Amino acid sequence: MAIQLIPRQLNRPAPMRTSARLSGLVALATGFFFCLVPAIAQAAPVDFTIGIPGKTGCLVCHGDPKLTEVKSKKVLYISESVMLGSVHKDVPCTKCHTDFDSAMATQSHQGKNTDSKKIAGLSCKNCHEHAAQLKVYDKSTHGRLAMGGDDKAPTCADCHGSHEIKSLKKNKAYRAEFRMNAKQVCGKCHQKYYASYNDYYHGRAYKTGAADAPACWDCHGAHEILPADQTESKVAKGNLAKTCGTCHPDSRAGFANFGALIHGRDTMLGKNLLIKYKDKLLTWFGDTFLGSKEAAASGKPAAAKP
Amino acid sequence: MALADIEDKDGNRIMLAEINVWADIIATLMVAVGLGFWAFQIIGNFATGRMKRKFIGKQWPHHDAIVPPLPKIMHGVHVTSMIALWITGLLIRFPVIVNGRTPLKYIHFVAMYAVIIIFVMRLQYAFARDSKEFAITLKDIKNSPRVLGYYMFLGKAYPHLMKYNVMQKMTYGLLFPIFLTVMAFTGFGLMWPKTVLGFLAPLAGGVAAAAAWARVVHYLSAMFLLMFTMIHVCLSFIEDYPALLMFFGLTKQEAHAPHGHTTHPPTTEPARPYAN
Ligand code: HEC
Ligand code: HEC
Ligand code: HEC
Ligand code: HEC
Ligand code: HEC
Ligand code: HEC
Ligand code: HEC
Ligand code: HEM
Ligand code: HEM
Repeated sequence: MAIQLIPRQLNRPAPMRTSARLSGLVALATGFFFCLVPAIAQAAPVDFTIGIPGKTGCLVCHGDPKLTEVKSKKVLYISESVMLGSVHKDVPCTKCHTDFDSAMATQSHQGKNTDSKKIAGLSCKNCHEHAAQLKVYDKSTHGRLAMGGDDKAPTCADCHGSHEIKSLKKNKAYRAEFRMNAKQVCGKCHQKYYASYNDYYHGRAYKTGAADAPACWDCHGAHEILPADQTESKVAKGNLAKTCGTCHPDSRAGFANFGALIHGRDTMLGKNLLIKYKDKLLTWFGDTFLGSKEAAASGKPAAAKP
Repeated sequence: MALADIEDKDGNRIMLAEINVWADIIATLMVAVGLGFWAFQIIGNFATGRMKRKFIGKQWPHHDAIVPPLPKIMHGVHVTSMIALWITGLLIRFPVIVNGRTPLKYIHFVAMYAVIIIFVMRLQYAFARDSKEFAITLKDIKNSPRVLGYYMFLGKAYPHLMKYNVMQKMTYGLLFPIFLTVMAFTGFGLMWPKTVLGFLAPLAGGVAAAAAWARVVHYLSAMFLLMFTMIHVCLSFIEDYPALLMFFGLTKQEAHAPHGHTTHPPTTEPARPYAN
């Protein structure tokens, strides 16, 4: 009969204490989930309400830190305090996990295969608050690919995360942290370009934490990202002056030629005549003046990076 | 045609970007020249026995007059600030310290004001007191091959004319002042691009481009000064170690009886008593 206490308790506004009281049961439910809970739930469907704030039902199970998928060891625990601290604290779980409905909360969804990345990760499009971002994202390389089902392309959640999203406009500390996180946000997929973002005042400074140095999206845009050879791209030749102009006063086409250095410092160093021919030069020097090839080989000069 | 619009043969405008890469190579070479000069001087001084005569035989140049304290103090503050400028400036260009840019800039600006103030004071002092010592005369120019020869270990002594020889006069009286002015101008250009570099914008192709060029010039001038200072330090160490100690206030200068120009014609003085 204990099970019938759950719904009333769950409807209380402070679900945290609810789960504390239920911890015994939840532990049990977790331990024997695969055999016990489905049986109970099916035998006596409880009237969970996925009401406002909407986490209550799902968190009965997902609020337990020990909720772990047995085989894959994937942690399915969702921290309630993190959710309540996020900008989406009033968004019900099912608004993002659109393939889960309220009924799911009353039942086990064991064996339900969901691709949270794809489904929840793109669920953002359903809310009019995000229409503005969606409009540009739809036309971007990322958006087109992700909407078309490409696994490698970033959904909204790949860049923003899922349950811990905070306001970028209002929360200055979060925005600053997000800005410094390009290694995670873009670098996890664009390792090469993250590594080559290595010029003097931008890349290197950014990687050592300079707040005034541009993050990837200061040049590429966040949602409107397109390859450089498309005219609408922010880093297309024709738009570069304007893009750089957000930080550099009176930036014109000629100035934008520095853009070649932003991802190109290492390549340019490698292509530089003097460096390219330094080995030849050394061999020649060794042959001519020292009379030996060994001398040249051992006398490797310092690379041109003071 | 603005500087920045010059295209390479493929029609790409990557000049500014390429020049920054070249700037690094040139800077490295300049440091190498500075270090090479040290090696050259040390080897040469040992080989010709000058080192032994100077550091063991204590045969150092004689000095006509006691150096007053003010130039010494100014030089000391100046050197300290310059070193701070190099360290912070280079760390701004090649950042390694986590989030160092802001504090480094702050130090750079404090040191740069110190350098400018000292520079102006030293100029004023020079015009009031000792500008003669830096003036390059016809005799100096005639004398210069021999001075050069002495430093290259090709010749022995050279006739002593004044407190400083031609090379010193050129370095102290021309190179250092000119380059410090360039550094100050480009430095302020980087701080307030619109105000300082606005008039160059049409030539460079915009204020941003002017700032970018100013940066290249600022960087190269800093490295050029570094090279020259390395040479300056090397010579002041090897040629006149006691004067170096004295110049930094580490020892007291011994009063030395005035000799030379009042008692014998300058061209006949053996400037370096240890002439090899
Ligand atoms: C009765 C306990 C319970 C309730 C209530 C519950 N879940 Fe689950 N949930 C589980 C378990 C157990 C799994 C793992 C199932 C599996 O691996 O087959 C799971 C899996 C998931 C997954 C898939 C995780 C993954 O990537 O493998 C999502 C998403 C999810 N739940 C969301 C929800 C949402 C949203 C709600 C509320 C509408 C909810 N759950 C309610 C127990 C529960
Ligand atoms: C703002 C939308 C959003 C809300 C609200 C939301 N989720 Fe998620 N959730 C996601 C996304 C996106 C993922 C996929 C994350 C990934 O793949 O990296 C996810 C993943 C999960 C997973 C899989 C485990 C994991 O971390 O990958 C579970 C379980 C889950 N959510 C449960 C819940 C529960 C329970 C709630 C309500 C308390 C909830 N979610 C609310 C967007 C949301
Ligand atoms: C490629 C990574 C990426 C993807 C994909 C992405 N975003 Fe963003 N998003 C960003 C970045 C970067 C910012 C800007 C942060 C800043 O300005 O500091 C941002 C900002 C935002 C903001 C804050 C308001 C604004 O417009 O500046 C919202 C809301 C937002 N994104 C929602 C979304 C939604 C919804 C999607 C999916 C349609 C999405 N994002 C996809 C990277 C991404
Ligand atoms: C149920 C509708 C809904 C869904 C689904 C949703 N959001 Fe939101 N989102 C909101 C609301 C409402 C806000 C708060 C807007 C405000 O405070 O101005 C918000 C705010 C945000 C913000 C902060 C904007 C700012 O800077 O103030 C970001 C970032 C964001 N959402 C990203 C996402 C991402 C990414 C997803 C998908 C994984 C998503 N949202 C899914 C409704 C939703
Ligand atoms: C989940 C992985 C992922 C993340 C995260 C991601 N991207 Fe991408 N990005 C891609 C894929 C996949 C493409 C398409 C590549 C292709 O078509 O060759 C792409 C394309 C691009 C392009 C166009 C270049 C081209 O070759 O088409 C740019 C520019 C770009 N991304 C920048 C960014 C930036 C900036 C961020 C961070 C704000 C980011 N990306 C985050 C996966 C990602
Ligand atoms: C200061 C501006 C700037 C910043 C910051 C920047 N980029 Fe770029 N990026 C460019 C320019 C300009 C190009 C085009 C020229 C080139 O390929 O070098 C480019 C090209 C790219 C491309 C290839 C686009 C194509 O069409 O082939 C990718 C991918 C990319 N950047 C990713 C990143 C990532 C990831 C970051 C952050 C680590 C980043 N960028 C930061 C300016 C920037
Ligand atoms: C988010 C702002 C931001 C963007 C966008 C940006 N830069 Fe910069 N850039 C900086 C900062 C900060 C410095 C360092 C200036 C300093 O330390 O005083 C800098 C320095 C430079 C310099 C060195 C010369 C100077 O003016 O100090 C060049 C050249 C340069 N950027 C070119 C570009 C180009 C080309 C682009 C566009 C592809 C670009 N920048 C985009 C912030 C930016
Ligand atoms: C005298 C006045 C000077 C001013 C106003 C000045 C100002 C500046 C400014 C504003 C910067 C750019 C820093 C930034 O914002 O990121 C800079 C960089 C730099 N400064 Fe100075 N500076 C001065 C003198 C010097 C001197 C005397 C030296 C060295 C001898 C020096 C060495 C450097 C170096 C190496 C850089 C980095 C250059 C680069 O990034 O390419 N500066 N300076
Ligand atoms: C940083 C750049 C430097 C500049 C611009 C500079 C400039 C000068 C100038 C203009 C003089 C002429 C005398 C005077 O001004 O009173 C001088 C003398 C001197 N400097 Fe420097 N100096 C620099 C660094 C150094 C350093 C780092 C050292 C030693 C470690 C040094 C050691 C000396 C000595 C010993 C003299 C006296 C030389 C003599 O009287 O013959 N200088 N320097």
